[in-house]
Amino acid sequence: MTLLDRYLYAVQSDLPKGQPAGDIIAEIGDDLQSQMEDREATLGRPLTEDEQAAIIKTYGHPRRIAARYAGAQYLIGPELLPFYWSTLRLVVTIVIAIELLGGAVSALVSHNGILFFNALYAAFHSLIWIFSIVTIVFVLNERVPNNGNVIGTWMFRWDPRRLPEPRALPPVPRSSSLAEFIANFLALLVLLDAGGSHRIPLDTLLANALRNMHATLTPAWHPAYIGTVAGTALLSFAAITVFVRPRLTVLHEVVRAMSSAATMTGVALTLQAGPWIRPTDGPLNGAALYILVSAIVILGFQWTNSVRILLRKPGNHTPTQPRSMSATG
Amino acid sequence: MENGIAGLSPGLFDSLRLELRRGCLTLAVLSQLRTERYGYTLRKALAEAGLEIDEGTLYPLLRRLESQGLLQSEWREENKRRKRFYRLLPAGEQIYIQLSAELQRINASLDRIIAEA
Repeated sequence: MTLLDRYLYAVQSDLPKGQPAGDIIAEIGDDLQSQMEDREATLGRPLTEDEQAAIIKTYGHPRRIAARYAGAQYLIGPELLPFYWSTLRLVVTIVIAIELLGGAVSALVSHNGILFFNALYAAFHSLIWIFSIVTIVFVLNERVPNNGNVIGTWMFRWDPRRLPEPRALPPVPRSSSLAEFIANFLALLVLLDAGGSHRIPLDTLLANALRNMHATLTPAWHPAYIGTVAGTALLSFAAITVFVRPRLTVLHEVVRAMSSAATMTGVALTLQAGPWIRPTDGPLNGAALYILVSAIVILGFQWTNSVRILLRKPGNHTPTQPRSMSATG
Repeated sequence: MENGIAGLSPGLFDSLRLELRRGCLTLAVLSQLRTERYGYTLRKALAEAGLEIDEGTLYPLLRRLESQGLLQSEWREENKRRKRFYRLLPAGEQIYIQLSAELQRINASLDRIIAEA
């Protein structure tokens, strides 16, 4: 077997499936044979093995030559890739949120924390399924001819007139609004589920500490409870609204300001209605006062921040003037 | 070829040159296949005209142009060896004329732009 035969065999072994290997190998073989014949004619003698090897080596590594006959070398092309990532992010966010929220609600309603961990486990499995299904759909779409490229045709459809104007407030990322919604919705459920006349949800540790000190919360906490429920409900509403329409950032910030104001009002009324803990002569009332004042300061800061964001002027955006195009090109 | 310019990644010039040549090679191949040729003679003709193209680029390019309906090929025996001959189809001829005109327009624009720079 000559060096050329060995080289052609190596190229053929690496050719991508579905290529007419016979044709390709015959053509490469003829080219190399012609080069060798030309060289022999110039030298006036047959080529040595080293000279043959030099010509073959110049042709290129068999794997590299074979790879040139491959078609698309990617699963999802550069045009569809950004759409693939955004679809994957969106589907993962929605499905995982539904599962975790479902698990959390079931756990709260049935007072069985295991249900939430079951939902976590199911969410992990869903991640694998979502990744596989979305990837397969996009890969299949990449492989069909242009006129059958359903996803591409649908996603590339756009109208410059429907693009949003630049604003001072950038759109809220869906992952962030979803996390905000879950956190606030769960907090709302916990608040609504809370017992006692004051209805302030207490951590077991804190509740036991109060019980050991024969202390109880007074009904003065009720306005703070109402304010917090209203504020949390407003935040849940704001979060779900921007999840559906991420560009409703002004509404989002307005509702956040209303939420801070509602909670702050409730806490202020509670502050005014003290004492907050029975027996009223102990040191615990001092601690409660400190907590309430701190809460008002934090809520006030949040409210000011929301108002500051709302009053911020739009960015200094200079519209691009249409340039006169040269007739050439 | 190394670009040898500090701060630039090595091989940048080669990669940009490759990009610049890619479209031109298609046009050059189309131009040469108005006369029937097989791969080796086509490559020699291009090299003699000052445009060297390696085999690993030429044959996949010929295959692609054929699948696009611009060329047709035929296996025939010459000098006791089977060779694959290529020639331009009428559609390829049309594309060649359009691409040549386009290249001339681009060249004229570039000449002006470079002269002004």
